[in-house]
Amino acid sequence: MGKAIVVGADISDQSHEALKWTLANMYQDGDIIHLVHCFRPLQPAVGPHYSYVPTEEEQANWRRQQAKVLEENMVEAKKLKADVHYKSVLIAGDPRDEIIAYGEKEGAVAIVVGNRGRGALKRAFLGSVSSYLVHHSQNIPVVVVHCKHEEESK
Amino acid sequence: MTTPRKTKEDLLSIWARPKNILVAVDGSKYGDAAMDWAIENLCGEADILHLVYCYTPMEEFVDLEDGIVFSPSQKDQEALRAKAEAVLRDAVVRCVGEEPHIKHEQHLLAGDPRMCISELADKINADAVVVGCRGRGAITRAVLGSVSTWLSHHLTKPLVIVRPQDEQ
Repeated sequence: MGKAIVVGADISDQSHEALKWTLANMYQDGDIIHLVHCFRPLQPAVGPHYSYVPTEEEQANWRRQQAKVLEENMVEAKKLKADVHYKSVLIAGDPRDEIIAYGEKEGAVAIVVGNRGRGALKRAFLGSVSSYLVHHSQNIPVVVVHCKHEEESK
Repeated sequence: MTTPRKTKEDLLSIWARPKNILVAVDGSKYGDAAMDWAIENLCGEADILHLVYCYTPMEEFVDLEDGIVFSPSQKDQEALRAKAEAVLRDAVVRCVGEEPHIKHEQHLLAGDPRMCISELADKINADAVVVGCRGRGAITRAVLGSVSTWLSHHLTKPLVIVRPQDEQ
């Protein structure tokens, strides 16, 4: 029976590295790789002279953009290794909690993420989501993978 | 995306070579859980499992009342080392019991586990470093032990943090 492996997929170099590591070290024939992209829906904002509430259309557009991110990830994944059962998963919510919840729901044997995502400061060693997963994933081991070319420059 | 993506041929040759998997053990169930997970999920036929136990050697301490320095004797240090060797031996026995054909190497180190593990990971060019979420001196209410936390903030090699089954 194949195992479920959750890989964080946000089109960053780090998440690409995470997928490469998974394919090179963990993946066995029959396993299912869940490419998970969790995005935060647009939030209302209030300022001194304005308030902004995102419309349904704006949320839908935002969601479409995030779906495109996942599609790009799938294309890259298939280029790395085509004969793998990949599952593209798009979740709207807080990535920190949702990734763990999804992993538990699927009975994943590992959650593999890059050390940071696209939104993180370049000099951050461990991004906020990766750090949260490492500290709070109770049942599923978390794997943190760095980008090779950045390792060498350290 | 900024990194040059490797070609398919490079990747296939990288993926085919034997991996070096570093697992930190310390006699606790946390290290055992890390080793079990590594054996079950990472170790292939050609891969090498490196078991490392980094123990703290005895240090001098000062009796604050009279300022006398107590320094451990050779015999004390050797006794401690013998105990550490036993811990590592037990880990190897457990490993071979689970998977008799696995290629493994032992590393007994004295010093700060954080530094020892990360230096060894560089030395063997580890493809994965697998640690428990805590160690022997654990405070169970701590979210994550000091060594795992330090490694997550300093290790550039792929790091796996494993929690034991019975605490899930």
